[in-house]
Amino acid sequence: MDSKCRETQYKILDWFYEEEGTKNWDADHVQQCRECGNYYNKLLKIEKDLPRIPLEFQASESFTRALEDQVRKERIRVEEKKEKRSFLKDLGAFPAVALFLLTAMGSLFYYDVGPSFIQVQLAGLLIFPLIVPILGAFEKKRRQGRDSYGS
Amino acid sequence: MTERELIKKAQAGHNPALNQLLLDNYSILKGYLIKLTLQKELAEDLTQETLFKAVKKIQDYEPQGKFSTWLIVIGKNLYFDYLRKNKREGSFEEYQSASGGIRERKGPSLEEGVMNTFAVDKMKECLASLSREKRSVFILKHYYGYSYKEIAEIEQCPIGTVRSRLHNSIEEIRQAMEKEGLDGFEM
Repeated sequence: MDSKCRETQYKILDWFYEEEGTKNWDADHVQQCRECGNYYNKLLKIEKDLPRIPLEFQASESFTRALEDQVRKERIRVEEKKEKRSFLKDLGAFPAVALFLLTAMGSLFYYDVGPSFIQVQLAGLLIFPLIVPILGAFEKKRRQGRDSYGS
Repeated sequence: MTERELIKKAQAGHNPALNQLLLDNYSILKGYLIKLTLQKELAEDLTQETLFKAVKKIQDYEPQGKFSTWLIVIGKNLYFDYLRKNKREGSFEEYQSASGGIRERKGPSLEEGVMNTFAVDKMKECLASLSREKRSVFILKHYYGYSYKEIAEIEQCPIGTVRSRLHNSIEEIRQAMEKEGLDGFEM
């Protein structure tokens, strides 16, 4: 088979199996060449002898159940894996944060600003509860002012 | 519900959607594997293994073409792995028993049954004459109407190779039919 015949037969094949929508082969060659002229008939015979039987298979009930079980098990496995990963993440994050805080505190003490830093923190902790009622009183006054303006 | 919607739901963890998706594609996968392996029992095992593997890998699946394409790729690779491990291919005799299994499931009427038996016999004889690569291409194109592009993805080869394998399959099937005298190929 020469290259012209091969190309022609490929084009017939493409058209037959709906890869190409149009018949774009060389019609003159098909008329002259017996082999290419018969190629389409060969395809038709194969189509006739090997009909495209849709072999329908129904999954058995036991198979369907086994598949459902497998899906369920797989979901559980994925969830467990996710939980494990999240736990490991937390486990990794804790020492990292602790290390950072310790390093920060260590640095403060190393540069002799540790005691004063702690004093400022303690002062803040003591002063904040005292400020809260004052802030509450300010808020109350602001609301009263807004209400009287609205009326 | 469309296939894409089912895939999205399945990937989001919706079990019934995943079950439906797999069962919708069960028939095409099993049909392909029976024709490819020519062994009914092996095809059944591979179908099960393929679907179980798909369950495990559903999160990695990126919908591009048909879902069945992905399943067929998994099934085909499992079969080729099996062949590598066992270094053997389905024999014609084994396929005869497999097609017996196929025939049992065919149409309800006697006439339909006879016609199907004849068609299945022809099919098995023709497919058995092809190498496994050509057989796979022919099955995908002739019986399932996959495009060259989809077949090239499944077979992991260029489109030109798919085309030439299909062309060669046609020639070999025609020769096999001539040899068996199944139909008048006296052209």
